[in-house]
Amino acid sequence: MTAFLIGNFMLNGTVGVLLYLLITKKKKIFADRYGMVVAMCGSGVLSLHLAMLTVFLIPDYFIIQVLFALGIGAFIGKKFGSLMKYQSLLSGLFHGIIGGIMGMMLGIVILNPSLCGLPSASLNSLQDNMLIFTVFGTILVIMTGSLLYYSLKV
Amino acid sequence: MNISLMVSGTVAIVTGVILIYQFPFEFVFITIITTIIGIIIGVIFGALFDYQTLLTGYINGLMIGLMAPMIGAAASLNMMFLLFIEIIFIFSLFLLAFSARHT
Repeated sequence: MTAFLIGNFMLNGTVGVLLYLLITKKKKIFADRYGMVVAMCGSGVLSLHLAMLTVFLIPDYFIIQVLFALGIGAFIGKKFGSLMKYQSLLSGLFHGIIGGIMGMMLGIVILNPSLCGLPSASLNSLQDNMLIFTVFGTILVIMTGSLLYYSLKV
Repeated sequence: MNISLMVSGTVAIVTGVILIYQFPFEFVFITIITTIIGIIIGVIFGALFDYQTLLTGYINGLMIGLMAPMIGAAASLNMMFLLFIEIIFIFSLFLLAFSARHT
């Protein structure tokens, strides 16, 4: 399970880096509003999924999770936001940090469903839930990446 | 952009709360279904204008759809909360029609 999670983390990081490089190549065509939309979409979904994987990988130390997830979110938001002008940096940073906090909340609730008043899961279904959410998050990241890449051509 | 943001958010949150009240044992599939419904509503309302509003509605429906079953589960079958959410939903649709008529 740990190997699968680490592999998924690296896969999503690769998708993010690839998306960043593809968008950087064409940043001459950006308008102001388009930069804001790209910063919102890319940093939101990527930091959400990476923060959820962080909670799955390091389930015991809360403060390390917070620092790591929020650091990743702020870094991704800064990178995607400062593509065009420094105005869209605010939007990118905000959505990156919000995505990191939401991903942490989602991961913690999946690991311990009785926190929300849901019936608590056994060990088997816990691993099933982690698997399903990891695959679903990967699908969302790849879908968002392909939508953003398609938006360069429209 | 504002229409797609508001409609996808409120529809996703109402859908998530109602579905998690009805099926409290299926947390995973309710989350996935709510996310897909939020994405579809955001895309439909965003596609009224152009591609960037489509992306805005998409990302907002995705995020609120992932979070909505969690707040529904935390409210633990409280009917006042459901009534409050429904009132906010109907009020936001009313505001949407009002703002569409006066621009």
